[in-house]
Amino acid sequence: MASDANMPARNISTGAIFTSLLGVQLKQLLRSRKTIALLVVQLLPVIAALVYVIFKDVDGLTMFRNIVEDVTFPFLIPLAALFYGGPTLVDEIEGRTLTYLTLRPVAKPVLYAGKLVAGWIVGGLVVIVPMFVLFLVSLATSNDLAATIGSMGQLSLAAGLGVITYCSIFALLGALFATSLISGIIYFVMFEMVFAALPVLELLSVRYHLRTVAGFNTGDRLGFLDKLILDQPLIIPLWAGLLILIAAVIGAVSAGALTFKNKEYRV
Amino acid sequence: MNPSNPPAPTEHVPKVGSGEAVIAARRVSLWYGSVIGVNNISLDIGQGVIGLLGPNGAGKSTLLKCLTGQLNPRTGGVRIHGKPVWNNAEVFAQIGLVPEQDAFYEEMTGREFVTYLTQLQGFSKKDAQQLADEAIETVDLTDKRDKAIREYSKGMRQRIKIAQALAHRPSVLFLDEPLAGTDPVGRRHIINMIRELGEQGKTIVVSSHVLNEVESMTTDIVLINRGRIVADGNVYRIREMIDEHPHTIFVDASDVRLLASLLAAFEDVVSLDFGERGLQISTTNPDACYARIPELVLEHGLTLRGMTSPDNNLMAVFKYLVG
Repeated sequence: MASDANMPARNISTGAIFTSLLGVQLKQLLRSRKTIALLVVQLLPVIAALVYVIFKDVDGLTMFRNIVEDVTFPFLIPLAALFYGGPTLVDEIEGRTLTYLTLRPVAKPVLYAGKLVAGWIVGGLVVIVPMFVLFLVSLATSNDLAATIGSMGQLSLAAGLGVITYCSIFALLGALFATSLISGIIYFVMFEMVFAALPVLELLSVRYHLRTVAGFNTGDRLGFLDKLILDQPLIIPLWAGLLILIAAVIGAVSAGALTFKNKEYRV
Repeated sequence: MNPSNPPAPTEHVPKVGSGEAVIAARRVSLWYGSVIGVNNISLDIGQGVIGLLGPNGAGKSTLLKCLTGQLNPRTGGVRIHGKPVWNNAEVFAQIGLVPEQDAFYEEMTGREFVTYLTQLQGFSKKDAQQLADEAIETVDLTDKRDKAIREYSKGMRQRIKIAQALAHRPSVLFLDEPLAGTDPVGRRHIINMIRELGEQGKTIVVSSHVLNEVESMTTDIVLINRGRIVADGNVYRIREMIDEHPHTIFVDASDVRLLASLLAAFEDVVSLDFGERGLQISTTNPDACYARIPELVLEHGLTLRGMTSPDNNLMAVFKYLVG
């Protein structure tokens, strides 16, 4: 080894290390097996849509919205987040590689953020790219191109925000419990399935606010129990849904980063 | 304790290594539930190679984790170059760690692994790759650097772990059981490398439960048992203590009964037993016995398959020291 006097220049600024971490994490995630597996799962609705377009006489826009509303948003987005947000720390803890990262000259919250942002980006791509392909398939049979394109823009924004929100929540659960799958599934069943079907409590679910931001028909009730208590479904403005989701992301990321900073993980 | 607190006036702080204290631990305690991992340890560590010696479960790894800032002591604190270690990213720029666990990003090549971790030390990708290549060369793994780590042997994995700890040229290096799984040639190479780094003025803390390993790297040691320092200083003194106690050697050979009958003639051999691990020899003169066994094997045409020593020799010393 060359002598220490010949050391190259070193930049231990937060920005420089964050960029290095993000670059490697993106590369790692993009070439991981789970990305291929998830892409296959996310492309299943596209295959189904192709079959419909070829063999049935359907309106592309209606089909597109139905698939996105009933499959992509309630299931595929949380699924992607479970795979990219939850493992933010848990993969390093279970793989016992966390030691290598925490001994680098960078604050732990920056490590957490770098890994989480990589999850956001890849998770977002895995959801939005198949959605875009589905959109192209739907275009073939749609008569209202302008409305379809506008709708796609809003849905992409909502899908991206959905991935970010769910990833941040699952990453927080991973930081808290050092395991993401079980805690993530419990969270999903409780908040996104049970609460989402209950009057007022539905406001605690990400799903409710994502529907608002995506512009789904807010007159549709998520939960049948709504009808037993409320005359009208709860409707909040788009901007309020957007703000709530952004606040949820900020809260979850801050709590996750602080947990990671102060908690000792036995690896 | 606030790590900035000076030690109490009456407190004796053991010092190992040369020069000023680079690592200063003060009244460090850490427990897991009701089990104490480290119990009120104060220690100054200077430059050179320092052996942290103790049987399995003695608290070596826990102490090492406290010294490297992976665990935050419940009481007390650790400073490196005068700065607290816990959650202090600045200190991490100056330290390298070879962790005990056999954990890697398996899909990466050795070169990618070391480059990535060196990049996270604040080097550009190009510089990190150059430093990684140099470190990989130091551990003699250049010809295998582009293979995926999952294809590495145990010894190669150990060496790439050392490379990642060396690449950014830290002034303080922690090695937890660095010779685990290495072959004799790799072992010799790593031992020489550690000694050279120590001679360059770096502070190197080597944790091991095998006295012979530590002895081959340094004469400065800290003995730890049940989370406490039971002795510190020169390894020769420890060696004397060990030699005062019967030393156990396991021998696996082709005809252990013949070998046992030959060894029985020597005065230092206290007892001979046959067990699952072969012939168990208890001797009061281990050096002579270690030298004698291969001679007898050669002389009588036997095959020697293995010769090991458990750490219960150390345990005997610990029991003696703890009283």
